[in-house]
Amino acid sequence: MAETMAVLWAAATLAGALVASTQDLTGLRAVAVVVLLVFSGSGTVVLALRGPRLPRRLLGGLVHAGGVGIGLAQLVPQDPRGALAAAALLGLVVVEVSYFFPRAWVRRHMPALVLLANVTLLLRGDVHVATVLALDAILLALGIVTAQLSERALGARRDPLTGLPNRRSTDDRLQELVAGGGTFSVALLDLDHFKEVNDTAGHEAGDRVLLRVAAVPERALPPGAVLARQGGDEFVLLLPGRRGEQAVADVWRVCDALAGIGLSCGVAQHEPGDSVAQLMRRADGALYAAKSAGRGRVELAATTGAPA
Amino acid sequence: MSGRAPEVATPQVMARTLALFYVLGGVCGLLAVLGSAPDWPRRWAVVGVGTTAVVCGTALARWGARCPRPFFHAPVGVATCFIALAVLVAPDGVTALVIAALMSFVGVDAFFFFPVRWALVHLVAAEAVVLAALLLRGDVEAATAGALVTGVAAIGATTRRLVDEASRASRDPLTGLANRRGFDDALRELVRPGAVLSAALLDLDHFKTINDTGGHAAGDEVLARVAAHWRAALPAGAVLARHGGDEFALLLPGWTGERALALVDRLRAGHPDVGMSCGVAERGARETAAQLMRRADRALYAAKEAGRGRAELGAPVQRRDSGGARVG
Repeated sequence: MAETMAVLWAAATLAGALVASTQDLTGLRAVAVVVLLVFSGSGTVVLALRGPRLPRRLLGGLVHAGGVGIGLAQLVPQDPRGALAAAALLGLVVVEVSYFFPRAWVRRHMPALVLLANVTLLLRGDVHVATVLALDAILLALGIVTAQLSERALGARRDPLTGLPNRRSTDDRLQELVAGGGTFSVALLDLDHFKEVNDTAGHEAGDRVLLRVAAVPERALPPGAVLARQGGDEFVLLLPGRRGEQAVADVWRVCDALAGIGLSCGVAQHEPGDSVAQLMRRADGALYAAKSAGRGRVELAATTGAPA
Repeated sequence: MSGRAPEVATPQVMARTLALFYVLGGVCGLLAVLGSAPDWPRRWAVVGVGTTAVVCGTALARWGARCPRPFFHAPVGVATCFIALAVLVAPDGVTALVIAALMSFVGVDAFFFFPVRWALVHLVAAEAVVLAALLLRGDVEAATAGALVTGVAAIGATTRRLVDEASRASRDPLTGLANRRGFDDALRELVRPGAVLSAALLDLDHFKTINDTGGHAAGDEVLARVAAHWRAALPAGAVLARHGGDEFALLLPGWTGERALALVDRLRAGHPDVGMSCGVAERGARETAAQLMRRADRALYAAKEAGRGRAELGAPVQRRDSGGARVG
């Protein structure tokens, strides 16, 4: 994601410099151009070098800042053609937003960003309203097509039955958590006797149980927690910021919220130096312990320092 | 990967996307005229191009989905010509620049629809032609035009990444075949009035035993091997998908049931060591996709009942209101 954003930001910076080269820059205009180019240039560098490690919130903030920057850039050129070339860069923001952000976010933020840029362009007084609307027609079409493609791409990261993130998505998220270096725990949740439900009551009954687990109410989960389906009857719960004992309490709360569904759970806290595979192996060991201790319970993996 | 067209770009999807771009592109041109200098002969010329684009968009929405893949190079190329023409005749520089920004549609289309090589041809052609049109006018600075071209190239590159990701969503990672989602999309496109279509379900016999005795790696190896062989042996236009586990599904557009059965038997013969049960069905007139697949499934069940290791053809549909035919 950050890599693609870096490409878009680089293009915007280059385009901005090209437009600036056509202008007669003195006084305030020169200052504005330097500020804008330094901003978009350093944004590009940050995204290219540190992008994958930036939190999503900050990336969202950068998108906003980029939109506002383009809006302001429209005011700089003396002639309306330069202003229009700057305005056309909004297409990059639209593509970026429709690609990476959820539909709800796009609906909430995109119209405001475009409107703000439109009003700024009109403030110049030398661009006709119809011209601005013509530009908006382009942005609309770009947004629709990119959002449709993005929706399909998202399908690759979701489990079709439950709509939860799938294994591929979980693996990526785990890598991010490990790279981030903060405290976090993972829990493996396994349905007890799921095969029997499938065999005796049919696949549809089995699917219904899986859907009930997927619909566990949000308030039963701590903030930031992600529930995902690993395949079959196995779910994984990612618990950023939670230590082992806290995570065990969290998982018990999930089990209580799913009364009537037997679950065996293995919890492991990430230890410094643990790889994703090592962490998951410990969680799997705890799950096995929960199963052999009679199912329907939550077990915490021993820390690496003190093997059980 | 770069040599193949993206899987997401089916004729239906391409037609829909082009229709949207043509209509909104035309609307953009008409709006731009409202805001342009009152040079009436030039204004009418842009109105003419914009209206033609809207008409073309409507036609693409109506009939585009039936066109074969190579056809779609035409509307993308024509879009470049329309944009360049409108840029050339636009009454003033600002209007010309707005219309030139429509190049971003060509950038998206090119990387959405075609293999990378062709996408680059379309993109470079569009950028060169529109850039030339802008410069020929004499009232747009070269660097300003260059700024526009830079943005369009970035949009094209981003589209490609997105399209690759979206294509992965309809592919099975182990075998590289279409997954259920890709299959359903293909099926929806191929079920058309009057079109001949056969469907087959292929199930590996005793696959669970392979997995249980040889481990999952052994099972995966068999699936990948079988899939690779089938893919090489299938005719052009055939769609092979893995439905998950040991289940495969095959669509053969233009093939009758008997021919499809013979083909499936040949595929089975290619792997004497892997037992396989297959159910084949030819789509009856007015049969829905779901009905067709249900008959194929019943034929597969019949093959399993009859002792596995064989292919069965579902009896043809007798009457369209009989609610599906029995397996013979």
